[in-house]
Amino acid sequence: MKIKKSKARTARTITRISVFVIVFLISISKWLSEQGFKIPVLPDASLHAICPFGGVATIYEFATSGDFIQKIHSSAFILMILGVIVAILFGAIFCGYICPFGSFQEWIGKIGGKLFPKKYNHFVPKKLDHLLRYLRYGVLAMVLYNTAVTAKLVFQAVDPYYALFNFFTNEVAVTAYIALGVITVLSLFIERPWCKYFCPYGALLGLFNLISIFKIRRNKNTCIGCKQCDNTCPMNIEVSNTNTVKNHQCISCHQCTSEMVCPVQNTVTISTKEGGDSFEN
Amino acid sequence: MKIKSQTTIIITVCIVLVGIGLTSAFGLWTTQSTKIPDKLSQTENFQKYDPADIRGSYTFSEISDLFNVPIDDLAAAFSVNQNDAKEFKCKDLEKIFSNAPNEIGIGSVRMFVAFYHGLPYDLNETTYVPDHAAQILKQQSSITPEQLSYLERHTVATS
Repeated sequence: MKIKKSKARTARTITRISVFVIVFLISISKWLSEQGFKIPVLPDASLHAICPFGGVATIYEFATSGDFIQKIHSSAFILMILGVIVAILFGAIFCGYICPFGSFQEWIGKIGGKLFPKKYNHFVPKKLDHLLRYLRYGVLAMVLYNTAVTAKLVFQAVDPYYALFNFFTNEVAVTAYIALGVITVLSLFIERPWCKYFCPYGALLGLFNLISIFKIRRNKNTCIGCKQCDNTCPMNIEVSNTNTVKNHQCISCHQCTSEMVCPVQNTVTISTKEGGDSFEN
Repeated sequence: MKIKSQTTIIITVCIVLVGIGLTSAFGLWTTQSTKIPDKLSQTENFQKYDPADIRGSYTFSEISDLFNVPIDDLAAAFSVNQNDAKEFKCKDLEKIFSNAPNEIGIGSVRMFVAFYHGLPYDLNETTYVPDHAAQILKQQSSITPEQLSYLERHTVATS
């Protein structure tokens, strides 16, 4: 059992660190190539080229003119499509395993967890927190509308992800630096504050949790009600109160599953339907 | 059907890699602009590149090649050192003219190139060029009277 938990956690950690490093290297490579130095192995791609949300932002432009908005290339659009395919299968797994800005917040959050061992991730009153969770749909709507009207990547001006991976360039707007600073500080108190309240891409992917083929499911017959799943969930979802996690905030990080934190084998699992006693895969 | 978390991430990575590989194989995957501007559709300028499609990432060297504007004229028009002109990117113009009373940027380059050859340019746009650029444009025979009149009203003194 311990080996299993360790394997699942290690796989997640390795994936997140790898993606973070790759994205950072691509960003440095792009900056260096603009200074006249070329790193042979790395692609000469900007962050916009490898961010699937760029594909979402350009949907209107693509639908109306067959073209992409400034700074967005076909790669972002293709990644968006691949992201949707993955989301149909597993929900918002991009957020839990891939997104380097989500990882950044989680790592900062570990300091917060040490500073406030009991209160961390529980500072915001429940009712207010519940309401704020819908804010990101407003952000998504605003980004889509403004991008459609201006045909420009308006989100870049407040994008903390862009600021984080481009902090050494002169292409980051002051507002994006401020957003990054605020999110970094908030991450000491709240786990993944950007994902919970503001991320427009997370808002979109979260909707796929309702229809995804594989979902996190709890076997109520074997559940011992220890609530370890609830306590571990970075998004404060009460897994112990549901049999199938369809919550739009779930980031499919799988930390609640029997592979990671649930002490009872085959109780919180990733599956296509309720029931089933053994892993087929 | 149950699935392990490691399997979900392996499948996810495979979908992304296979997707990138397939689209690359079919020539659909691009991470950079092709730097081939759109072409004008009007009969008299058919097949000429449209200055309105000049992007911030274009260097003066690329603009010179694509639009047949001497690089020395571009450098002089926008007060860029002749030695740096080839690699100079349009998006960096705003830094040079950060103290100008009106914005001098990518739009100014688009306007300069269009007027240089008398190509169509939306005169409803509010774009300014530096006085050095205006002097060069006034010497061009292809600039239209409407463009000349617009130029008189949209020149910024920078010297």
